Amino acid sequence: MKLVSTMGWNAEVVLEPIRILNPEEAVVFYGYYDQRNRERIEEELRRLNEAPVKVKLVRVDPFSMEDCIEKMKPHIDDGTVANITGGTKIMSFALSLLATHRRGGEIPIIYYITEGKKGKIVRIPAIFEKMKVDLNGDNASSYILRVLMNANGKKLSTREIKEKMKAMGKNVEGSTFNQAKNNLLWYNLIKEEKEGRRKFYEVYPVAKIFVGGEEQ
Amino acid sequence: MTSVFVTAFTIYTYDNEYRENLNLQEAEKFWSGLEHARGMEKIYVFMDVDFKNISKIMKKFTKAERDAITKKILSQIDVYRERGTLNVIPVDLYNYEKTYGAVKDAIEDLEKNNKVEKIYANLSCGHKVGALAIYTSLLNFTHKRGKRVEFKPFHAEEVITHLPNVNISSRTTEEDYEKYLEIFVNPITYEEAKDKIKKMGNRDREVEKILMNLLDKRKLIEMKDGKIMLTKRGRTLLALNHSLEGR
Repeated sequence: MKLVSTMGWNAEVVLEPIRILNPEEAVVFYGYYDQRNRERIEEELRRLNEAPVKVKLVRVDPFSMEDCIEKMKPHIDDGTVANITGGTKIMSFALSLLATHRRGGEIPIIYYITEGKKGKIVRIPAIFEKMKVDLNGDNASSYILRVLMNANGKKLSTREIKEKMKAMGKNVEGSTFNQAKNNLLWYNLIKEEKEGRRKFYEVYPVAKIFVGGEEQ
Repeated sequence: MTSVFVTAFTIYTYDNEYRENLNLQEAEKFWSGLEHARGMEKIYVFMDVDFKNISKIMKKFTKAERDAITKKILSQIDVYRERGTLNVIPVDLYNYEKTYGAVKDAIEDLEKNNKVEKIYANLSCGHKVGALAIYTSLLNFTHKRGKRVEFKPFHAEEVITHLPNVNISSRTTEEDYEKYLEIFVNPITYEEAKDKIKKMGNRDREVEKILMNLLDKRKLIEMKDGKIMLTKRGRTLLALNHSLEGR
């Protein structure tokens, strides 16, 4: 078992699950936002030497969903358990979504709580449900998403997206495009803005969770 | 048709140097989130603080904490209360399942009289497990209703982070098939698996459902060389469940 954990001000929320679950590997995602925060977190990181297994440390930007996804994703595999107890909410949300929507299949999510002097691990009972649109499939939604992700944060107009899709070998009618774009808006993965009569689209960083990675 | 803004709210009461910062951040996140509540017909606040005790709790707080909580949270709650759009729901935000259930009940109650067409959720406040439960509960509601409900979940801190409206269900509301994983520790044939599951009190139709759930939907078991066995994910999950049961 590989235990991957988010950590903030308290190493105990990582150390105790390691002691209880006895994983072969442990990875900790941590991050700080100012000097005071940094000193406190570094002090806690030193405590991880007490762990019975070597802990790999990965620094993330605790307020950037995009950075968290990019740095966390490579550490998750079929043998992973995700501990979302510590760190910021963004870190925990990123790890939870990576856990539930991993292309190779979901991995379990746990949380460590203390009741009085005793602590225990609780499983978060979230189960991935298949999305109606396969965002890695050969469909217009998937192509729109990939085009917008390749734009590196730049807004693209409907025409620009369609041209880029065509260059990728996906030529679609207006109604197919609209339906595919509406799916992505409903999934809250892209944003639509009107400038005069033209519409522009931009992808939210969280979309990176759903595209790429290994096949199921 | 109605629109709903959902948020959590807590007040940190620890006796340590970090409490002030946490309460200031909580006030700021609540306040920033409310920007998105404009025009919404209903406001639901899930909180683990008893209003009656707030002035007592705040007595030991610094002036900065008191000012922030009063101006950015309590006065805002009063505004929405006066407009008659506010619903305050007490819940233990440390408890995932209780929060999940409270959100589900609240939103389904609302749906009985007013079809919900839009939900905005600020997931920045409260304890993270509670915030996650609010998120997954609303995801489950939205995906059951389909595209007639627009759901925009976000986290508001320094920047607005938009979260996806994707489908996540809960083991608390679905039958738990993980107890059958034990059967596959050693590889067995399909027929042997069916017999063992039947002996655990299931009819033929249920046996198929259980096997399809573990095999096809969750991919915790696989068929290899005519035998069914645990996948790596299945083995990991079983090991985890054993550890949690203290085995």
